This record gives sequence, structure tokens and C-alpha cells, in this order.
Amino acid sequence: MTRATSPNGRTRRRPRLPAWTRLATHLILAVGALAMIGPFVWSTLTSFKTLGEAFQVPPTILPEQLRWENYAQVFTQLPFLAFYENTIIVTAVKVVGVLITSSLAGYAFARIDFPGRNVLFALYLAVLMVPYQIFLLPQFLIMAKLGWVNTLLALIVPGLFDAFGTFLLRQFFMGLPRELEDAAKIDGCNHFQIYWRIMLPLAKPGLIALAIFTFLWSWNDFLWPLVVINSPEKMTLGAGLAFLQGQYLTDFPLLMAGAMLSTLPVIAVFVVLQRQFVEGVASTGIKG
Amino acid sequence: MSASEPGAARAGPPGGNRPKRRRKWGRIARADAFWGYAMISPGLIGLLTFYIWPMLQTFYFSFTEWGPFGDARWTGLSNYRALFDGPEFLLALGNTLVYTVLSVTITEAIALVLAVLLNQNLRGLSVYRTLYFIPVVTMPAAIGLVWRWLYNSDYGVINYLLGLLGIEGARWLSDPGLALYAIVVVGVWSGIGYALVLFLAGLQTIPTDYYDAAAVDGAGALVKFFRITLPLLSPTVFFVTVISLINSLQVFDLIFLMISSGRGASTSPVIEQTQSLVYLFYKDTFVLNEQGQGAAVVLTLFIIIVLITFAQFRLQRRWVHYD
Amino acid sequence: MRDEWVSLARGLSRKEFLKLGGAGLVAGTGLLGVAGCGGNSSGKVTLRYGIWDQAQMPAMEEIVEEFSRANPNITVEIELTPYDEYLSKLQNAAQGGTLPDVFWMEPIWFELFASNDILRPITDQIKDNGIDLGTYPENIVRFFQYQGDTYALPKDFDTIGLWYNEKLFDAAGVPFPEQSWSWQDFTDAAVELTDPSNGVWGTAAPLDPQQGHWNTIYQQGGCIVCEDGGRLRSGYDSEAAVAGVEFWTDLILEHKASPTLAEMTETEPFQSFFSEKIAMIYLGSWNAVLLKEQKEVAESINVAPLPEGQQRSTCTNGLGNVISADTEYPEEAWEFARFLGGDKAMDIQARTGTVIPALKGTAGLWVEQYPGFDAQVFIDEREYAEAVPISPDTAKWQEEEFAVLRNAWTGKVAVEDACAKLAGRMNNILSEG
Repeated sequence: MTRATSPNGRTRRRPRLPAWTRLATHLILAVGALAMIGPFVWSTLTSFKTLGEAFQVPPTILPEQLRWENYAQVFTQLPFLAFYENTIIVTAVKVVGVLITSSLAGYAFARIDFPGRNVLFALYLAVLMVPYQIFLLPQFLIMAKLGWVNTLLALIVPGLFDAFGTFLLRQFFMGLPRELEDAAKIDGCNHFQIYWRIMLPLAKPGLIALAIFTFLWSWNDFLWPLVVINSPEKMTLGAGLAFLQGQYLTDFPLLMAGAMLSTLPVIAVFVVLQRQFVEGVASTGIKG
Repeated sequence: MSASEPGAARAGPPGGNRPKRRRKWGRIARADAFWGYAMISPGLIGLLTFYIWPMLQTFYFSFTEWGPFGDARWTGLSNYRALFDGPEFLLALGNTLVYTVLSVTITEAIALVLAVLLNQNLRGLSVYRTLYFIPVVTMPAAIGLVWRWLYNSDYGVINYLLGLLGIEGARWLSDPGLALYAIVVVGVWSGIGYALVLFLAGLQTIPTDYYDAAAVDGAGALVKFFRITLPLLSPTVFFVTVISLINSLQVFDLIFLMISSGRGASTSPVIEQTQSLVYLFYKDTFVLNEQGQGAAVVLTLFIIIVLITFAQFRLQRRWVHYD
Repeated sequence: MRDEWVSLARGLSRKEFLKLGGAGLVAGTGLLGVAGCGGNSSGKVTLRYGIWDQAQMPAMEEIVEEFSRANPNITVEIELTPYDEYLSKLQNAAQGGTLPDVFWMEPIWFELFASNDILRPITDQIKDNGIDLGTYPENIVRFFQYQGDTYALPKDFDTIGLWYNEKLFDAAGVPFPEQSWSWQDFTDAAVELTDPSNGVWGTAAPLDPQQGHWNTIYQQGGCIVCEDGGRLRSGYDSEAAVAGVEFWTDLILEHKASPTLAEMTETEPFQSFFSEKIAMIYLGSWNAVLLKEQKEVAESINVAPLPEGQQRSTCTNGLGNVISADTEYPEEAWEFARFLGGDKAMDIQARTGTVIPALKGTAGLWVEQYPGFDAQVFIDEREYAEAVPISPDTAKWQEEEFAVLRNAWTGKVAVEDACAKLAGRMNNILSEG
């Protein structure tokens, strides 16, 4: 096993490099970082401009004054609060649901030998390799039959089942040591008890990673809500942005304000929890 | 990835010597079957209903032709043959492949270099890592809109900055020769963070002893990189490559958000040079209402993805070092 | 098997078991609640009204309010879908049986829906209630009639006008457009008004059929979808069509008086017009509402009738409110549709200045919303306006129209060849329908 160092690299025993190397390195990294957040900076600046300012040639960099009205207008022009509410509810339920269904199935595929296991798992793999857009129309028709069109149920239920989640957690469980399991079996525990009492707590990194992926994917989803929701009050943030693109005149500052409002919460959550995010994501790769 | 065999793995079953092979319908096998099915059923039922069944439906649709409101008739392979009628499908295939190859290789190359740079006990490591990862967590809808605005030839900031340097800005999103590459840039921009995080984690599992030994032998930085870093990082590179290829082959959001704007798509002079296979599927299914044709497109893509992924797994013996 | 169930139950401690069960119950009822009950108790009916224009929302909301006041047992929920997704959403909804009860319909899509029995005819209701269809413009009424039945009361109508920026004209010393303008006058003025040093274009020639080449084709006496003894054929393989299209492509390629197609794809022409980068442009009457948003620029903007080709013409279109054949509340839906076609609703539309209401005599109120702007032009143009082309499946050949003409606009293909190719493809589609 080569997991000698902790993820933040601070326990390495490397010598400090000469100053100029460090400077050059910082320079390169800083330029790169600037390129990464540049678009956000620009879009935030634009969100404070008036329409006329935004359409200047050559473009103005700083707005004349901070037009907070743009942000207020987003809330009056669209039911943005409802967007937030819906997105939060839908995402929260989905994360919990995915964790439950995927961990159960992931454990079963990893540790229980039952007939047809490999064939069933191949089904999960097949779903992973198909573009998600093909599910749009058939799922819509199912929702229509169930009478769930234009309800939050339609946004939540199909997303509770995630092939990726099962795949991810299966990998995780397979990487855990068997000895604990065997000991539990000798003690007479059945599979569910093993799962519940032993494996699940151990799989925390994987669960966190999955929770993060599901959260991101659910928050940012825009096509499915557009297809299955009709009333603006039931829309989510991702799809709601489409409404800000006026049929004729696109008010870019307004659009940028809307874009910032939609995506800043996620960025904020990420910045606060960034260690968990990064560790979670990284752990999916190592066990590969 | 070995199958678990509870019977054989037990160390010293209680009750003395039992035959090591478990009987097919023994108590343990029955318990396993029960639990196995019980635990996968919540997920599996949902998967079958909402994913497998639609996939089978789509497969079936690819052999049918549709009326405007849903009646399908069987037409055999005609949709597949129609793919080769005009240049559209092959162009879209080409666009998809170009986008995929470029974005995956460039993303990984840049991320690799950055990861190596970051891996040197640098101050501010987590700050950099956070900044690089922000595009990954950003809403695709927001990314598409913002970049579209950045690329605007008249009002966009990119051409403005180029102008300051004395370079004349191009029509990034409306020049047929450039549009696809402009989209690749955005794809790379939003993907670097993910690859970077994974590479960093992978790099940190490489024991320093190797590097120290190499230093003692007088090896320079480049040699260390190619002889030690790359080979030991190859499992991570493999993983990132597989995932990135699958995702890039399915590119849709960026094109939908940056080139199309509903009406705008049909009048855009670059749509044929940028539309990907998934975009073609979307157009066929939702704009032209030709579900059968769309299904044929997407099924072909699926086969391509499966083949490429399969090939990768086969090829990994050649270059991936597992310890 | 029983052992396993027992051990499952035993495996969970009592607390864990209750917790799981409780959670399940809560989740279940929570989801049910979230689904929202749609039943109607106490005779209250809820109708769903499908529309696409964000700018018309205030007017629609006011209309709904007025209607609910007169019909307290009926609530109307407005469902707004962006225009680009409207048609495909409708088609999905028709497939899934989730169409709104009443919704906006474009004439170019109407036949597709009517011929597939998606819509509910209102011929009887019109007769029974003594509604005089003569109070609506005849061509719009005809838009929504199919095989002897009427399916909608007209909602609004529009025509295309020549909008121009007086400031830019004065700056270039060009006299304002007049009623008497010919195509040549227009083209000459466009060239004179083009000022590259200031980034100003004389005009814009987008690939926009309704606001662009359909008008000029009509002005040459041509037709887009021509009726030939009961059969439909494409009108693109005619001199009139070629002339009508060349009018636009020449502006870009020959006279350099308009931005290129690529440039117009990046920045919409009316955006540039309102940013004072374009001196004059063909725009529909529905854009008038933008004058209210762009007050500083609005002062310099006025409108004139379209220049004359071989004859005067302009494209006219008009929406209708149709009823879904599957609606659960056909009577209430009719009540609402009837209200939408009545003078109260028309007045509200006129007063908010968003679209020209269809009912005769109400258009004047719309004109009054734009003092200083010659809005009357749009009404007067109705004299010689021609309807947008309709066919069984317009959306299908419109895709071809864009795909083929795109190449003529970039100069890749000669206009005659493009038109001939388009005519061929259109005829294939039209003969299928």
C-alpha cells in the first residue's frame, strides 16, 4: 500500500526549491488561476452595469455605479425565490435517496454473491455509457402517465436512482478489508447488519463524494426541468435562467445577475467545504 | 474485482470439517440470494423503470418512423441508412471526435503540468486548488451564457484584451473554422479542475523514496518525470482518461448554450461545423420531432462509446502500471 | 426465507426499526403532499393557459384577473414557456396527454394540430352565442379554420414596418423614409447611411423570413406556399422568390450596407438597432413594446411603411387562442377563450401596448400608447398585407428553409441555385403532408 502521505501534501520530506523556481511556479499557477476565475469576475462586473454600458464598443471594464437594481429585478421579473426553494428541496431529497439506493446496491454487488449478479451489474454499466438526453422524452411520457408532469415529484423521483452512484460505492466497498466482514459473519450477522453497522460507517469518504456529485448534478440540471415543468413557480435554478433570455432583447446585465445568483451558492458551499469536496473527488480516482 | 465466496473465505467454519465447496442451494447461498436481491431492489426497480426501459424503448424507436404526434411505424434499418444520406451525421461525428480528442488531451496535459507544479510543498496549495476547481462546480447554463458573452466579437472582453495587445480579434462563435475550437477552450477550462484534483491525489501516493534514489543517481527533473512520475501515475491517468472520453463524446450543453439559442441555431452559419452527435439527437427528437432518426443517432454514439471504452480497457496492459 | 426476514427485523434494534419506518412514512406523505392535489372540491375549476411571451405576461395576468372576477368559480393558471421550446413542448404534451386547456397557437403550426385532432372546434359555440366573425380580420379568422370548422378566435395581428433612427438619418443627411419609397430608394439610402468609421450600418439583412424575405417575395408578387388547384407547392423556384431573396443578400454581399450573417448571429439586429448601430430595419409591430423599455433611444425612432417592390405588400400574422381536444373542462375553457376574444381582453392588450388586438376597432387604443411614433402605419398596412404561409407541417420545411438559405446569405451558393434546391426539398415535404 502506498498511502503514506496525507492529501494536503504537508508531510512530504522534500527540500525547498530555489527561490526562482518557486517564483516561476507561482507565476504560472497564478496566471492559470486568473484564467479560471476571470470569466466570473467579468460576469460579476457586467451584472452591475446598465444595458447601455454593457453594449459599449470598446467594452467598459468597471460599471459606472453598482446597479444593485439588476439583482432586485431578477427577483421581480421571475419567481427566483421559488426557484431556490424548489432547487433546494429537490436536491436534498435526491441526495438522500441516491445515497440510500446506491449504498444498498453497491454493497450487494460488492460483497454478496447472488445469482445473476454480473448480468445485473452490466445493466448499470450500460446506463452509464448512454447520454442522459435519451431519457428525457421517455421519462416525460412516464411522468405524464403517472400524472406527475409539472410537479416536484417529477423532478425528484427519476433522480433517486443513479447508476453512477452504485458503481462508485461498489468500487469503494470492494476496497474495504474483508476481515471485519468475516468476523461479523462468524458472530452471526446477516448482510444487512453488516452493511448497516460496519460497512456504511467505513464508506464515509465514498458517501461524501457521491453526495457531492449528486448535489452538483441536481443543482445544475437544466434540461429535465425545462421538459417536465410548465409553471415558472415550479422551476429550478438551472432551467430558470432560460427565462431570462428574452425572446427579443437579451438584457445581458440582468442575465449575468441571474447567472451569478444561481451559481454563487454552490461556489460558496464549495469554498467552505472544499476539503471534503476535493478529498471526495480524489478518492474516487485512487480506488480506480 | 474478485467474486466473493463466503463459504470458501471463512476461516475455520464452526462445527468442524465441512466440504469447502458450498452446495448450490445451501443455506448460505439462499441467504445471499435473498439479501442480494433485497438490497439491490430499491435501486434496481427505479433503474429498470426510468432508465433501462427507456433505453430499450429508444433502441426500438431507432427502427421506426414517427408521425408528428407519436404514432410509430416499423421501418427497419432505414433510419440508420438515412444517417449517411447527407453530410450532417458524418460532420457531427467528426465534430464530436475532434472535440473529444482535443479537449481530453489538452485538459490532461495542462492538469498534469499544474499538478506537478502544485505538488512541491508550495504555500497556498489549497487556495490554488480551490480556484482551479471552481469552474467544475459551476452551473453549465451559467458557463455557457458567460462564455458566449466573453466571445462576442463586438462587446466581448476577449477581443478587447486582444485588441490591447494589438491583435485583431476573430469571430469566435460565428466563424465556421473557429467555433468548434472556441468550444474546446471552454470544455478545457471547465474540466481542468477535475483532472487536476485527481492527478494531485495520485501524485501524493508516490513515495518520495523513488525520487530521492533517483536524485542520488543524478537524475534530472525531466528524467524523474518521465521515468517515475508518469508510470506511477498511470492508473490515475487511465481513470481520468476513461471518464473524460465518455463525457466528451457526449458533449451537448456547451453547444446548446453557446451556439444555439432556439431560433439562433438554424440561422447560425456554424451549426454544421459544431453540432455534436448528442446535439443532433436533440434536434431530431425535440425540434424536428423525428424520434426514430434521433434514436438511430444516439444508439450509434452509444456503440462508439462502448467500443472506445472497451478498447481502452484492453490497451491498459500496454501502458498502465499497477503495483 | 423466513429466517432472513426475522433476522432483518432482529438485526435492527427497536429504535432503528421505528426510525426507518417513521422516516419512510414521513417521506411517503411528504412526497404525496409535494405532488400537489389537483382535485376540485366545491365546483371550482382550474384552467391552464399556455403562452410564450414574457413581455405580454402583465397583460395576460390582468386579463386573467378580469376573467376570474366575472367567473369566480374558475381559476386560470398561466404557464409560460420560452418561444424556442414552445412547439416541442406542445408536441410532447400532446403525446403525453398533458396539454394546457387553452393555449396560444401560431398559424404556421395550426394545421398540424388541427389535422391530428389535437384541438377542439368551437364552430357550434360561435354560432350558439351569436358571435360575429366579421368583427375580426378575415385572414386571421381563416388562419384558424380547418375543414369547415373554426378552432380559435383571433387574439392579435401584426405587420412588418420599416423602423428607422432619425438621428442617424440626420447625421448622414438622408431624408426620412416615405410612403413612396421603392426598393431602389431603400438600397440607395442604406448605402449612404453606412458609416464604417462610426460602426454604423445602413440596415440589417438577417435570415428572418417573417420580418425579411417573405415580405420582399410578396412584394414581387410571389408566394411561399402556393396553392395550385388544390395542391400545395413551393413558390421558391420563381423569379419573384429569387428577386425577393436577392434583395437581402445583395445588401450584405454587394452593397456592404448590412452586417454579415455571422455578425448578426452573434448580436441580434434589433439589438444593434436599439444600440443605434443600424439606421433602419424591417421589424414587426410586436417590437413596439421595446420602445417603452429603451426610452432614451425611443425618442429618435419612427416607422414608415415598407418600400414598394413590384407592388406593396407586407407579411401579416396573428395568434389565436385554441382549446385542447382533451380538456377536462370544455365549457369553462370555452368561456375563457370567448373572454379572450372579447373587447375587455382586447382593450387590456391594447392598453399595455404589447400587441395589436385583433378585434376591429380596438387597434386605435394600441396606437395611442406610442405618441411620437407612427404606429398607425402598421394598421394601415393591413390593406395590402398577405398572410404568412401555412401548410400541414410548416415547422418541417422551415428547417430546410434555414439550412439552405443560410448558404445563400454567406455567398457560398448563388441565390438561384439555393432557391431551386429549397423548392425541391419543400415540394417533397409538402407532397408528403
